Amino acid sequence: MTMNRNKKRLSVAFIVIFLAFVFSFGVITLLKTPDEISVSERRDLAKLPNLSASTILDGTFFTSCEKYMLDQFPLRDEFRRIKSVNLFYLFHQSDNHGIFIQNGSAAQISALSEKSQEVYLKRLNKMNSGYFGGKNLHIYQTVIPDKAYYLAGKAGCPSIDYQTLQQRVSEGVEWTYIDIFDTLSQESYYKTDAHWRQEEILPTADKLLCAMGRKPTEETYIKDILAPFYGVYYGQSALPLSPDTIRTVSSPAIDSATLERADKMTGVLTNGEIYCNQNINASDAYDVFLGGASTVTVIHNTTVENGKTLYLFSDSFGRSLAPLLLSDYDRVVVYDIRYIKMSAALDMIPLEDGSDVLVAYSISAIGVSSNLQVD
Amino acid sequence: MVFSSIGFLFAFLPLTLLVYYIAPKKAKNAVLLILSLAFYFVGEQKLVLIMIASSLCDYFCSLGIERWRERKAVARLFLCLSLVFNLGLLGYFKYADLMINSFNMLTGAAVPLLKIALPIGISFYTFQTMSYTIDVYRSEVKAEHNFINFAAYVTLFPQLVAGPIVRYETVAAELRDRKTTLDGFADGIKRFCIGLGKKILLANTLAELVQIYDKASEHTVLLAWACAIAIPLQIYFDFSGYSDMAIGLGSMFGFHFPENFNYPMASKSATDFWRRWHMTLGSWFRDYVYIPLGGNRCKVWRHILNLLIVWFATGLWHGAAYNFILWGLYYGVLLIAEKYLYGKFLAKSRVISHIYFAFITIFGFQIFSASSFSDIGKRLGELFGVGTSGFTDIESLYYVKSYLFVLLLAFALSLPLVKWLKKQVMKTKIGSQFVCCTGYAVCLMLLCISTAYLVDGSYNPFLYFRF
Repeated sequence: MTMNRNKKRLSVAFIVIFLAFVFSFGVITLLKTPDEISVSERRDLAKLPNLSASTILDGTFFTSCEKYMLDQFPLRDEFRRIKSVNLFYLFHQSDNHGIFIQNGSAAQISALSEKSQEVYLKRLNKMNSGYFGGKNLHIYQTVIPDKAYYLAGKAGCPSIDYQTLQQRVSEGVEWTYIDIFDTLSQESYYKTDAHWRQEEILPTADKLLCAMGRKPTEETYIKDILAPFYGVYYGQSALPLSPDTIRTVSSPAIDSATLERADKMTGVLTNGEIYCNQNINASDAYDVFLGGASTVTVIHNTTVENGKTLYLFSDSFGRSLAPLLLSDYDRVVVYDIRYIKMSAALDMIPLEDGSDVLVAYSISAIGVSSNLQVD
Repeated sequence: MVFSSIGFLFAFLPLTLLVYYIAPKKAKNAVLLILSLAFYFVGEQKLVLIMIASSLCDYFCSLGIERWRERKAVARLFLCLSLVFNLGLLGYFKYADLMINSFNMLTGAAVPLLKIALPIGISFYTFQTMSYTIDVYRSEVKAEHNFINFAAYVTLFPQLVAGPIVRYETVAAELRDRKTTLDGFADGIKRFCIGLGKKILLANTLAELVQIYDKASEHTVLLAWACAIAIPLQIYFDFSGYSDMAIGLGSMFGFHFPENFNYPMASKSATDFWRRWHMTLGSWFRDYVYIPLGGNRCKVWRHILNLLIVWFATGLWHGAAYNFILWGLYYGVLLIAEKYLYGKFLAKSRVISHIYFAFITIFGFQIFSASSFSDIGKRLGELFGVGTSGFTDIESLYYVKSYLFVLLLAFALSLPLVKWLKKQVMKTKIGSQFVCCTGYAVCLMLLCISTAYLVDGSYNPFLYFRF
């Protein structure tokens, strides 16, 4: 009798919890004010779909509703974390959406198709023939390795053939190739992010400067320590990783340097800062370096007057590298031709004869090299 | 709409439960009918009309059969009308392109394919309604005079898109009068959560491994074997998970649906397997095709022919492609061989019979999941090193290691180990209470983790969705 009563109580409790779960989450999802963006995933979230006879009859309303509910689900990040914990610690799977953890550091399984490599080489050759010819430029290039290069072996996960990639890139275009792979290590990258740590890439900057015939930076020091930095993999892995710290590096040249950035709308150059510390709270804290993505950025060195300019074609990795290349140049011009056509970028700041050019893209940028707008 | 979606779990299901339970008893079937049509409409929109047409056809045909039962020719005409209509629907929507393709291959003609979208669940509801009219014709059930009740049976959303194939006689009494008990409702939730976990946590995770194999340009022997083992487990957990959810939902609304799976991976032969796998389909073909053909009470050659016809049809039911036909015939041949050649030998050794079953299942599901005839040869060849890039490489090792635990877990859960353990623990009073408590706790955890997987990912295909 008692047992039956206990069983009944348990059944009631079970039913109540189940119904409370589906009803409450359903009601909250549909009635709460929709979130605009997912901070952890760095993307816009789905909006409530338009209700009309046509969207109902063609079914798009229902598919959009499902997307909306998925994106706006209450405690979304917490649920994603439950999934991630289950996947890593209960199912003992090695990666979540291609993000793996090795020695407390998150990295993405790298993949680079043959086609992407071909497209990249085509873009480089087009840059060479269309914009660099007849100017007596000293052109250098490098490939910025991703974190997986240093972690994949230890994690036993597949990775791209970096040696073949370097060989293809170095032989695919007639520029001087500088191998920087040996100047970096796993510690050169943030644990929760894909980017390299500025304070760890001084040997890389020095190697590049030496290879370009310039003097390495002599005196450097940590300028600021900014925290917490939750990198891109923090959100993607959905694991409770401890945040990183951004340390900015300075030198006498960097301290006295001035910076101009092209305005997003008008393209007019306006003054900015080498390090925008307030961006530590932005959606992408890596925007601390040079104030974030800009089509054209010019760093003026006020401590040197040798008439030398370095033109750096790069992606977000270049933003933390550029200040470290300043010491022996009058100015460093950073072009991000993912956001502007190359012709337009060079209209703003044309290449001067006899200057140095460095083309330095990361593996992820090479993977989507069709974004490089070499017109 | 599928059960394993956020929209179903957190919008459709709570709304349906609320409306159903506040509706007066007399209106419950009408409520279920409207909500089931809405459920179908979300996924198929205009094609809901096909299902309504099928319901109307079978409703009037069965009434006609009953009205003119004494005039056999007229009754037979109504039966034929129902069969032609349902098989016509299946033929047009599911098999037209296969027939055109076969015609083109045989004659060298170039008749363009129709490329018609297959209505969800058509294979299930046409089989259900056909069985109903056949049963009415055989006087095994009385024709349903209330169209709401009949349409509610045909469109009943828990079993609409992926079965189990519920015969009218199974739920006829419950359609008219059913009681939902507290225990029944709790058991329904429990079964639903187990099904959800099977589908989302196991089947979908194994599907990722299969997808890695499918996407890879080159395969190693190791990856080929891992995938070959993953496929039957994936399909089992996918389909049985969906059946569990259907049975659980049915229970929440006071229906008792038939079981569809009984640990098929613990089988010892192909014959044993088909007694445990998709049981409602197997019994449908047995009662409406195999036995009317003469079953096994005939000469050997005729029995073999009967088996081949049934297994040809079973294969064809699973999909309008040659590999499904071959898959059906593969099992037909195995069943014949077990019956007339080595069945008695297999019965002598449990070890040998399980090893035999493992191999025939792995090979069988390679046929099932192949995209073409040449793909079947390629897949089977890879298991023995033909056309592979070697025994293993870094990529294969990584992925096999990554999915090894899930593979082992899925294998263990595909066997009746938990059932056995539960039985042992429940022998005592405390054990029984413990099982009850942990059962509920595990189900709530499964619900929570499955929700987490749904929220995290958009990859959620359902394999039997288009069957």
